[in-house]
Amino acid sequence: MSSVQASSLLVHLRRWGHLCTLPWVAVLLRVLVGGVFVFAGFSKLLLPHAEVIEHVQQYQVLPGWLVSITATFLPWIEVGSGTALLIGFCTTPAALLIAVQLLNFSALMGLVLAAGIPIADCGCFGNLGLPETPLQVLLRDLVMLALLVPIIYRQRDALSLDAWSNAPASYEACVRRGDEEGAQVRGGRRE
Amino acid sequence: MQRFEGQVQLVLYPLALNPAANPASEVAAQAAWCAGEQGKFWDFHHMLYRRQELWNRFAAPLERLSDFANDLSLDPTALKSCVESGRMQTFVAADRTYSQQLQVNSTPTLFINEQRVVGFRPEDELMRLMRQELDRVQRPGQ
Amino acid sequence: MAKKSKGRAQTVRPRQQSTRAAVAPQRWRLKLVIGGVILAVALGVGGLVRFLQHSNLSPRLQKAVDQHYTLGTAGAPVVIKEFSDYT
Repeated sequence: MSSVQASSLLVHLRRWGHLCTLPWVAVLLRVLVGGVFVFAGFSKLLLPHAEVIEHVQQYQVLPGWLVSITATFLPWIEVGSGTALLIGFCTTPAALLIAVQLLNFSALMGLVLAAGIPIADCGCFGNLGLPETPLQVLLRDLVMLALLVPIIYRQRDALSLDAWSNAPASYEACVRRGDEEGAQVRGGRRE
Repeated sequence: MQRFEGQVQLVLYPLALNPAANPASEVAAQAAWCAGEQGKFWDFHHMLYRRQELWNRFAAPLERLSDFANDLSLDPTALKSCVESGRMQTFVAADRTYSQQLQVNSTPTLFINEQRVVGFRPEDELMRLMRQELDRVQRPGQ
Repeated sequence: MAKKSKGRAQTVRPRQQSTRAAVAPQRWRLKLVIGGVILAVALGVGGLVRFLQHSNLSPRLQKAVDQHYTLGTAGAPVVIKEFSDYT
């Protein structure tokens, strides 16, 4: 890579880094990633349970007992973590839980690709989405992992339950109660 | 089936899940129904699986299937004209509709009474599932 | 005068902080309730979808087997419906 290309890359990275500090970017990414997980979870819940088991079993790398547990609990975990991220409720734990899922899926796809197991449709979105190959899923999951970084390291919350609960309310409380000393503080500042 | 004589009934629904993507399966299903008109449904059914590699790569495998009909003492001309007439299309389409109502998305799918089993299962596992279901329905008070 | 104001500000700040401290746990609790309710609704909808799907299945499986090829005894206690594709 030439020095011109390297400096251009640095500029783009800095721009991306700056974008990541903007609250609306975190909101957008939260809605995107959370929405994907809610959709994935519901699409699996719409399928018969035996079909979900079959989708998980096709990967051939999980032991039998883990197939059943995964097929049973995964849709609920997806819906729960996706919803929490979507509404910005316990955003960091939700984002971390989603990151763990994405890391697991990526590792699974990597194993399947390395083992050469032929899979036409990952079953990620049941019957509601397009069939995806393991490589497509791996790339998608790595992109979503990258998109989680600005969510986890967000500078400020915006349009979320966490933001609402953390909003400073002392000024409003003073005004509401007609706190005279608060007004005097404001008056003192003017002096 | 012989092991569970009198206790289990198998009903077969030959499916063409996605005829647009896989026209050969539609032809094969209709041919099986047509073979049934000549009293050889099960023989033709087993033959279709045994010789799958010899015909399923053709989008229009009717010629090949008619050739196989001779081995089963079937009238290949009658088989061919039956499929070409489209008489069995309604049966295959009805089974596809029924499978959609039951949310059958892949084959094979079995329903052992109400228990759904998706995908290939070894014989001993199927025996175990049948035995379990028999025990459940024959339990006193059920 | 400025010193007096600052002094007053210093005595007021702890009260502001205690007000904020009083409001913060309330909002935090309310956040837990609201977030919990939304999560419960989302999971409840998922459960309802699953339940309706299974309850719809049973009557459809009772459909008659006429005009299909069968093996075994009619009216057997266990009926296996096999959906398979020849390809």
